[in-house]
Amino acid sequence: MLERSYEKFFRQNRLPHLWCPGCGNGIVMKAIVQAIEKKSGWTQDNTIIVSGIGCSSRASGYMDFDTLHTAHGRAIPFATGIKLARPELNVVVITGDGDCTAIGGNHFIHGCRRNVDLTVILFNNNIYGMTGGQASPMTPLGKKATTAPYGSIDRPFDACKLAEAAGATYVARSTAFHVQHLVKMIEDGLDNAGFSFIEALVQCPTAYGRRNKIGEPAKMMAWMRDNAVMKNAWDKLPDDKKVGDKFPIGLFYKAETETYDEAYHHVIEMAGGAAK
Amino acid sequence: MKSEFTLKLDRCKGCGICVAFCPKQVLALDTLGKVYVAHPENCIACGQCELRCPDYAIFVDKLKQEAADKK
Amino acid sequence: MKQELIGYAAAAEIPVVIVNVQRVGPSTGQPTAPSQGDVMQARWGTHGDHSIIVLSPWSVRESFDLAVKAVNYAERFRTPVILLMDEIVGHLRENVELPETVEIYPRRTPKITRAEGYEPYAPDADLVPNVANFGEGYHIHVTGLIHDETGFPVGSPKITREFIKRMHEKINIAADEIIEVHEEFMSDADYAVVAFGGTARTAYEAVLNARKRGVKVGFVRLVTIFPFADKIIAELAKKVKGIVVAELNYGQIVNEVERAAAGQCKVELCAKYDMTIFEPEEIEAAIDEVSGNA
Repeated sequence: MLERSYEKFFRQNRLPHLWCPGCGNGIVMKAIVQAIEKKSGWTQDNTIIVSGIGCSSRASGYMDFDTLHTAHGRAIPFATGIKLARPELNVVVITGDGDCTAIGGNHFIHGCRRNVDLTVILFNNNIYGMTGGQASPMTPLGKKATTAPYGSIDRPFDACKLAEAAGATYVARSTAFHVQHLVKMIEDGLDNAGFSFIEALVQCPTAYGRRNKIGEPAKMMAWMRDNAVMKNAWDKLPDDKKVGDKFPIGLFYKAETETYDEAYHHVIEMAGGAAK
Repeated sequence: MKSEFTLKLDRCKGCGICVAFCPKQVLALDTLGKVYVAHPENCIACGQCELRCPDYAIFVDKLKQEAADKK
Repeated sequence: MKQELIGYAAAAEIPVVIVNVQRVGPSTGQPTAPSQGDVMQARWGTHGDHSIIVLSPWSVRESFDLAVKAVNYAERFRTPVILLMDEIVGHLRENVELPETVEIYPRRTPKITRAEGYEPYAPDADLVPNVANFGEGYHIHVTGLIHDETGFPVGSPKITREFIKRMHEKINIAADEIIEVHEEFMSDADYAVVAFGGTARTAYEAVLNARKRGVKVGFVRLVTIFPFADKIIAELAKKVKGIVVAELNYGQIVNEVERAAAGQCKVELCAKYDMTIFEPEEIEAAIDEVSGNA
């Protein structure tokens, strides 16, 4: 067999990863490195992976770049710091639904607002997996969690709508089932100069699937296959068909505007240049 | 057989995703819960198993025609 | 707020300087009246055993000098450093002459290459690691999880013990160098006033006034709050009959002084926590009380 070229992006001595059998995080982690691989000029030396806390955020430890595993919810501020200090570096952020939209919610919207040149990939498993299955701000209504034994009554965030409203300049969604599509969404996000946000739905068979009796990992992925609707088709779908579990995937929003590091660079120039 | 499988069994966690999404029911889990190639003759080398393996444990390569003939 | 990240900087050994201009708390407290109530927060204001250096200036010029020192300690020891100010010093206006240039401790860099087996958290002789910068090809992993010398998390009691020990010891072995105490009128002193930050300005005046009345009292100002000046206070306690600790809180640094003095002399707290600053007379009264002149 020809060794897969993406394997060089993993710290081989750290694999196999710690995620549960059937967890979708591994699929998205591979999609990220495959997207990076397609970007000319992006190397393991000039690309930084920053992550928060939670299952998703353990990804940074397996990826053979300079990697920063930060504090809960704070990946975006750390990444912003790197981008401002070293604008020539490419910065990718890995976060989860709890990390990004609960404790990190403010950092998330302000990162979007400032249009910091980052690509943020949110692994959405609908739950706090690592700590044992507490409801997150992206747990769907009625779904069970250890903190919502009767089903969640908290209306969930649509992180893509949130990102767009807050000012992100690239917003897309895909799933662990739609792997090639996911790679493409991430790749286009890396291309965008500015705050790029990609929500990747991932199955959490252990903390979410089991408690909600959804079954095997493959069954959770089949649910993605059966309910995800490509953006173009979604837009044509009459409202009475946008029911049940159906949800759109694809590119939702794209815009061009000055990035935060460009604006910051202008300030440095106006202030007489950075001290060397 | 049109394809060659490589299994990195130390990475396999037996989640069954590859088994479930194989359109030709080529794969199965053994007693210890690891993947094995049960029906290699049915494989069409579509790569669905490799695509969705969360643990990078299964790889499938299309054999060139001559190699396939030799088998 | 966000104290978790102080612990992150300690664990990941990231140089950082935090300026805390203290005001009356708890909570929103009395904004923005003076207080020195964050002494223990500066030492322990994040969860877990962690290393820290805390410096406290008493003037505008010293705020500048200690800020430079804080940056240099942060770089040298790869640890968070807190510049613990108070509203008194924070709102002070003084004429100062600042130096044209300052000396900066150079960023520590790897001494060997990746090929030669570089490990970002392998300690140097001073127990401080030479962590590589990002973007220089070292592919390091930085985490707040307890990690081994490679930087990767490990669930091992041995590694955990060694890690926490090294984090403390890298500061402890250099403590004599870090600890700075400003003493005056100590040669003939029978008593001493210990203070820091803005309160030390009032304490100085109180000492001057008391000496004018013939009380043999000296002045001891803690410039470095942590690591605490254990040895210096122990020596002081041997020498004097009594120490007055003046602080704008319900009693924080006094516990450190008592611990270090270890019963060798009287230690009296002169505390104030009513959103106003000390009057020299208040500290003088405390001096008189401890020296029996009251």
